[in-house]
Amino acid sequence: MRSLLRIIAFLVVGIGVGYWTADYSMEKGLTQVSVRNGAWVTWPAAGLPDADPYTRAHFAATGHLPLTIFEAASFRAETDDGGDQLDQDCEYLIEGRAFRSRWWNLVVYKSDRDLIDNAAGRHSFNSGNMVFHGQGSFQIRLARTARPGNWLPLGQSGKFYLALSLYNPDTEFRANLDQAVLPKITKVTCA
Amino acid sequence: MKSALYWLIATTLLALVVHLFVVIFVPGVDTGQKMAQLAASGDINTLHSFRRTSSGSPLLTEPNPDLVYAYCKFDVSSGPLLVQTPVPQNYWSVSVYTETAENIYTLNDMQAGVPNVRLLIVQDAELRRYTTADETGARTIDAIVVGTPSDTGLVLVRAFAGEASVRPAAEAQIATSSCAPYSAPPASETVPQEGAPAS
Repeated sequence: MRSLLRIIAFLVVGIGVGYWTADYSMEKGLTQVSVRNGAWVTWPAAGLPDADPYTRAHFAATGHLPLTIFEAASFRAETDDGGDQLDQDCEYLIEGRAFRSRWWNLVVYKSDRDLIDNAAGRHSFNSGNMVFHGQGSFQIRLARTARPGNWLPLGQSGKFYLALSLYNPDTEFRANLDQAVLPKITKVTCA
Repeated sequence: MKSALYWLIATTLLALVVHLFVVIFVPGVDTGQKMAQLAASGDINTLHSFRRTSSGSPLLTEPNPDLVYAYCKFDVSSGPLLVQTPVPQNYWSVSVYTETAENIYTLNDMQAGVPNVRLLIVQDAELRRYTTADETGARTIDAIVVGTPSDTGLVLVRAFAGEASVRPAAEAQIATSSCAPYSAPPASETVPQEGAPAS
């Protein structure tokens, strides 16, 4: 009886730990294969023929068809700068500066990786339709109800994340993904 | 004590095997399901265009609302595929993905430098046949030839549509793209190789 319990524990713990660590490393990214910059994470080997197995697994699991870093640098933020999960019950302020790339945009997605339906039909801002302040700086407010300036609507509830894509980024940006100046994400208030 | 150490090592090894199995084999399954979903949404070797502006069963995960897309699920097992697409004024790119979502080729509008792009997708084994000149110095096709290691895959065209002023033109141009099995032209229609004597 004792041996049977040990075998069951061996299988449950072994399979459980193996699956959990694989799922975590594919979803969140290990430091060896993904680059973190504040709340933002990117996978530099995305789409490359010699990409590591974790990068391949990440994009296969998410179903996202990636472009290589030479064509587009793609970052994702699931938390604010304080480390709290982004939540549609809260309001956020995003502050940043224009990037040295051909064009770029910032999109809000639900946790199921789809757009958030809203009456304004607004899901993103890009470098062409954004209202900038002096010296290329910008602010975007994420809130359920309308806000002045650059406002992206959130839905009724649930987690969400942000995707920042820079198309044809310059060489210096590509070489310094962990030190590039990326937008700050500040939680303003929660319902 | 010795027994506990034995079980700890055995459990760690099992966890390691499961971890590697999931990382290495699950992607193929996930990607296969995605490709099957795309194939079910339209004909093979036929181009479809769309732009995501609301939620609900997206064909592509994380659709970028500032882009208009055209995609073509291909199968080159019985012959090459010819993709023809105009290049709009703003950002545009065409990418070829294998059945495991590996991005084997991408060309953008600045690299293309022409108003229309012709892309021939062939099996890797057939690549030489379409990229070398024949005995008269003529290439067999006037197109960019891309070899694919997998018979099936996906061509994805992206065009910038993030401003109201450019959106209608981008959508209209992408809609005129095409994707169809390629039939070799008669020998008289082959393209002279640069620097080769005229035949």
